[in-house]
Amino acid sequence: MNKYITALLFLASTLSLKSQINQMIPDSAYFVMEVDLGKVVKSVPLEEINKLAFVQSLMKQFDDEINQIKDLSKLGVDFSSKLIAFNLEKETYSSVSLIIPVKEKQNFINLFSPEQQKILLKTGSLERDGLVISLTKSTCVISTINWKTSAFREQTKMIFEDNDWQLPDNYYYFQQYDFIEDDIYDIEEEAVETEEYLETETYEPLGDDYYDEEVFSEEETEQMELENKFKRIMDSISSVQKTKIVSQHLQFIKRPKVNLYSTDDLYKKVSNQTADAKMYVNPMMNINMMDDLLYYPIKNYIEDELKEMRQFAMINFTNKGIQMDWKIQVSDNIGEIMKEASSKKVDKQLLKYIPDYAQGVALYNVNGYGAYEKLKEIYMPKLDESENAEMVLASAIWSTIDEFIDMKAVASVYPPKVLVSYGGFKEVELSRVTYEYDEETFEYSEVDTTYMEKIPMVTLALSNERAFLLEKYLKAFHKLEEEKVIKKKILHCS
Amino acid sequence: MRGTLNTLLITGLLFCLSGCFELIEDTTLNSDGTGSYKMTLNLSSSTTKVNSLMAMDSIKGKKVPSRTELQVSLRTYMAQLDEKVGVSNVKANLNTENWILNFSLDFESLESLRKGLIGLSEDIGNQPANDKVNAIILNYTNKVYQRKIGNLIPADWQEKARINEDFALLKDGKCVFIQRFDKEILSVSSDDVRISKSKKAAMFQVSPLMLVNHPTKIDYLINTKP
Repeated sequence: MNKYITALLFLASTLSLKSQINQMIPDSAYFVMEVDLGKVVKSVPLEEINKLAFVQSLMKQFDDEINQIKDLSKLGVDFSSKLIAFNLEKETYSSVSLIIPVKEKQNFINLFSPEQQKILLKTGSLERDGLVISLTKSTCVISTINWKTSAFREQTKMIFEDNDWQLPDNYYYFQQYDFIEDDIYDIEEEAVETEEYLETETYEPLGDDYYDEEVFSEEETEQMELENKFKRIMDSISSVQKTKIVSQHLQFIKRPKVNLYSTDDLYKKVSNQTADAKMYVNPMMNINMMDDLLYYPIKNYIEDELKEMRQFAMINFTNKGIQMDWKIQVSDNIGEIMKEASSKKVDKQLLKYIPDYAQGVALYNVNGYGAYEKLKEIYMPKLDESENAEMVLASAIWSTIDEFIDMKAVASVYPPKVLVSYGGFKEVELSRVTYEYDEETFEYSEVDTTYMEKIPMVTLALSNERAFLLEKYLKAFHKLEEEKVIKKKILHCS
Repeated sequence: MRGTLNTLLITGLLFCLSGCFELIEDTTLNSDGTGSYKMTLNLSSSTTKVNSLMAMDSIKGKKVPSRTELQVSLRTYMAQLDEKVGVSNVKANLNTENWILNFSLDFESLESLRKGLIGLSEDIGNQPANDKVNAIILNYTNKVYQRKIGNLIPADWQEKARINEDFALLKDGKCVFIQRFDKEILSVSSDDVRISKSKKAAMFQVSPLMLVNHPTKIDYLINTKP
């Protein structure tokens, strides 16, 4: 077990670090994971890890026609050090970076394509399509950047608005995207494609002078000009910003003065502790999360509360499995709310749904009413005392809702108590169709047969004081997502 | 574009689920060259995997089509195919419970079938077929049936099958190619192709992995009595 987990770590990240590597993490990272390869390799020697089938499979990825790598130590990585992965979530991009300690630079550089090797040897860094690699004698930082083109579009829009320039009608679509979740766009796209197809089928071959004869209306011409202007400005903005951000990523390897290790005492403390792996989360640095709080009336207070919030975990791999010590640091107020929210009451009704083969069980049991009352006790007075009229109004509306709605009754049904059990992979009998062939004519006919397949066994049980509500919601989900939720039968609803 | 994505996804699915798919191509040829073509793609052994993939919103940034969208695309493609010269009576059925696709049509000649299928691929891909596709041979003249489509299998799939575990699972799938005639078969150019007891049908059964490693196995000639 230990061997598999260890090797999995190699797959997940690729390797560890010495103390200065911590200083390559910018202080705006919201998630950091460290793997102490030195410690891991001490408990499971590299020779043992090399023998694992999937490690060998991984090694094949680095094979070329001349070289075949069958030993992790040939990768040129320093297995006595640490490996770090960290995430950034910014307005214009998100990125995942990996800091790899290098022991033998030449071996390590051989892992790249010949073209990349040339550039890395010459300049020590390369950037292409959002992949940024910087390499020194002892460290390699690889970052994958995903650009948020919608942010560049919005910045362009703001420039247009600041200058009172007219926006093109379709500016909203000026970003490269492949997928918009809302089905309405799919329908429109489908319709456009159909039209294009019909046009292709119906039209006679076009002559050379076709485009000369194409005439645009005045309005169309104006829109085209606006579109070109918008695209030009958006191109400039994204080009400048991308260059700047890539440059910042290339600088990580130079250990900036302002880095997480130097500015965050808690990270420094966590990083200096001993564990096979460590995780660190600072949710405030995730701009997406803060955007979600934008419309909450108590946003300003929440921001203050979250400033101190950190989560960190120490992970150790033992012969019995994974030992994880997860800790959360929060402000006093959030701590009080969490204390009220924690409930030690276990719904015994749920326990009977734990299958006898379950390998693990998780319970979600929140005292919603207690948490709500504490939230009200802490923040209602703050809103009342605020100088901001909107905050005072928010308090008035909150009090009104509080009078209208029986929160105790609400909390008794939402959130429900949840039990999740995992029973590992179990072999189950499933049906399938096969074909039988008649030797006389080779005519074939369908035959219903069965086969065994290993599938993960997960049980989810929900409980509240009004079970009929759960049933109604499940019925609604089934109707809304008919294609994804398959109703077999209601096993229990009481 | 969405149609192309659907096609790519289906192709991708095929190889994700390569361990458990069965493909049956069944061609019936009359003496005058007319005939019918049936194709069955059976993914019922991979139902749990397909359903898991279908439950996802997107894969690698590409939207996973819903069952309804797949049915709509299929109907569109079949309508397009039905309009091709020399092809008629196009029918298709996609069973999304067991994931079995059945598709059939009648053709005036194998050349019409070839042109029809290439035309459909051009419509779906929205670009002209490449030289490899145009080089496909499907022919039945002078009582000789000839097929040459092995070149369509990309050469790099062999390498992928070697290093990629998913591709290696191709050995567990099954591809069946059947040709039926109203005259008796005299000979077949490949030892791998079996002749039925009635001598009016030939069948070539092969694993997808074998096809990837030896694409020309799919190319053979059948001589029938005049």
